[in-house]
Amino acid sequence: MQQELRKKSNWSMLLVLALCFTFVLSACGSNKDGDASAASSPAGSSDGGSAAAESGKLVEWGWDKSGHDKLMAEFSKNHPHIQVEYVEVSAKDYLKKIQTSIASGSDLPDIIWAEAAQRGAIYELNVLDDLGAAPYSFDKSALLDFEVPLLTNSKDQLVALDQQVAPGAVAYKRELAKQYLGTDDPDQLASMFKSWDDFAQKGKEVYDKSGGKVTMFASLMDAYTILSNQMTKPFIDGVSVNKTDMLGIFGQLQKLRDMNNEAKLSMWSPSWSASYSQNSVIFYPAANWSPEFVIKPNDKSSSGAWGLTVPPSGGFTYGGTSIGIWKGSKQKDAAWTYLKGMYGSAEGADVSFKGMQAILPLKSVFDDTSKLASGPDAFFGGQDLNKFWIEKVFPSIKAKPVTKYDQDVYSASEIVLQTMAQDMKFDADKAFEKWSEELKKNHPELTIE
Amino acid sequence: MAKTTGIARNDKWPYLFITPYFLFYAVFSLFPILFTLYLSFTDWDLFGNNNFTGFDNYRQLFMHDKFFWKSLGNVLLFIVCYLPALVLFGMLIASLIESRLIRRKTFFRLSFFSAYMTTPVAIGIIFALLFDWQGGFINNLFIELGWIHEKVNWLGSSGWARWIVILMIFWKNLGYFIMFYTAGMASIDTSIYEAAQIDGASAKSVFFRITIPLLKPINLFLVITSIIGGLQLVEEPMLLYSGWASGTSMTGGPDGSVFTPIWYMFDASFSGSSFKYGKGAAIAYSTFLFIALFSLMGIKWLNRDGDSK
Repeated sequence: MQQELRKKSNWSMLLVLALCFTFVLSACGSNKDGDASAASSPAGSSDGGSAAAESGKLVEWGWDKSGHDKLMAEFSKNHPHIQVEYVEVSAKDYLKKIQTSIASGSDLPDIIWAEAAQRGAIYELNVLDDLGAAPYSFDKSALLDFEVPLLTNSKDQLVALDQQVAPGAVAYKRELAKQYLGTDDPDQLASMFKSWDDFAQKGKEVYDKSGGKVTMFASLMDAYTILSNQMTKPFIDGVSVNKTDMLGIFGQLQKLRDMNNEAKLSMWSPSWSASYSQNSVIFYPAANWSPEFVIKPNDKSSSGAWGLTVPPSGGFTYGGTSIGIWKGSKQKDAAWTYLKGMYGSAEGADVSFKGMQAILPLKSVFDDTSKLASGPDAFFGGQDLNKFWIEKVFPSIKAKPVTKYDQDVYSASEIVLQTMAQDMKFDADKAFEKWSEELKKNHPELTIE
Repeated sequence: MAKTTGIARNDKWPYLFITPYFLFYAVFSLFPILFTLYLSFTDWDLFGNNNFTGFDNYRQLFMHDKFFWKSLGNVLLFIVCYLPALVLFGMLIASLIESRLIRRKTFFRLSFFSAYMTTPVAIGIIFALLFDWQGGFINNLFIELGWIHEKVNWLGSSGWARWIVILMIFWKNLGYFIMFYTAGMASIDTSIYEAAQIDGASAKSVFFRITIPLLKPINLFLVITSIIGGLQLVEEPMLLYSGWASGTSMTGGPDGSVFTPIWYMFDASFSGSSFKYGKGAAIAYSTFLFIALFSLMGIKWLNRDGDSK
């Protein structure tokens, strides 16, 4: 009896100790997070005003530490005295972190990133400095023309530089293209579709021929990504909604749905990712970052199975991250040296290309494009991807000005296209009406002409 | 004797003891509550507006905002659907577990309660994966069983989306209700049951005439806290439609069918490109008004037969 009691008390003691241990460990974990945020709040102290441009400790928030490290290795060769304290913030949380820092009045990092969908919002939050003014005096004509609207805020100031060009086109599965479209050559495919209507028509044939098993796109959102990024006018001009273009896009999407051009998956969902390795979808929108981050991870084993070609109506910009300098930074000179030396000059082009094979959207870079070839890529059947982007996509590439409503436009479109995919009676007009309703929920000031 | 003089000398000690907690409460609870009230009267958004606008936000919400009323209607509908089911099944299962029919009582109690212990975030994601249109387990199972011939888009239809949310909340809270009823039933004097047995009462009579009335205080507590919690519902539906598991994120679900007031608050204040803190604060306080209203109504209705024991 006594022994039993002792055993019981021993076990309970052990359990209590184990619980305490877990609590301590979890506290250790959160302390690390605490340290990181504590380190990021105050900006690094300035290193004396005179040598300010060449030395200093900058704070940067970003979501790609490994990429950053590679670039820093190259950058430090030119500017050894500039140090960067890099704080990892995931892309999903980035806007919220900026937002809460502004609301609470705490410091922002010297170098701020703005992901494609959030660019307009971050520019509008008025935290990025005008790079065209002193002390930066960056000449925007050095940039490729289509880039400028992506980096300009509503006050017409250039507030950021792009990390790299982000051209978009379509990736296709060679086997399916050969089987259902007759060819897997990128140029022949591009010339097969003179317009989106041609594409939709061909898509219907593919669907019928395969008995419903193979479709051109995985979802309406895939097609929307291409169509919306091919616009040249912004979604919303001031507070006036671009009804003509949006109705046009919804009309095109309705046609694609009616002609069975899509597989009704949800873009970015696990089943959508799985479709890359199944033989059910031919085309996916693809940017220059897609092979590394989307296509190869989702379809590991099929080397040589993919190709890139230009969609109807030409190339577009897709994604990309722009980088700017905080208005309240205490080291603007050093920050500018960093920004220019990474993304804004011939020197920066060198650093970016050597470190990350990234091509900057500067006119000077494209004077001699022979150096930019990436070599044949076995995964893409021997296509030279950089050559493809430069020769086939850039001539027709389009970009539109960013607005602070971009993220909400995307969410509203997602909701509307979900309904469109399943309800055959949901047409473009109803889609536009629903879409405007969703937008006006949080933005009652918008007007529709 | 020493006590009476002692009180005058020592009356600072009680205050000193509660000061740390009260300071903490004042800074982290009281101040935010009052500041949010102030915010609800402004139009503060991070794009530069910061003006005192009085009741504009409330007027906009109550008169011109169909999303707010829809979200309120949704949560009330959910409560009406799952609360009676929870009370009924909770009591039934609790009495089953407590009866002599079940041997491994602890196992059953733990199984039901473990659903309540799961974090709402995980519940939302799990249900999103279960009910996924193309790859979800439910669709595949039903097709295997021959119950349906074509995969149903559960998460894409407003009717089904509501039922999924109701199911999630019911599944999660059943264990909680069972636990309370078990405790309540354990506290009922067995002599009452014995007396009933002697008088020849059937099991059904015992259940309806003895168990349920004696569980009234517990019912009162559970119903009121469920109303309060139910009106604040946000995590499960938000994670269901967050896009983590199902790919597409839909604020409010298809056609706003699972939109909730607090989700609206999140949406207005923190998501996308709308940083309207003033509006979010107004939504929060409006929801609070409705919570207070419905809780009072609940209490009045449950105590309608006069003072409860």
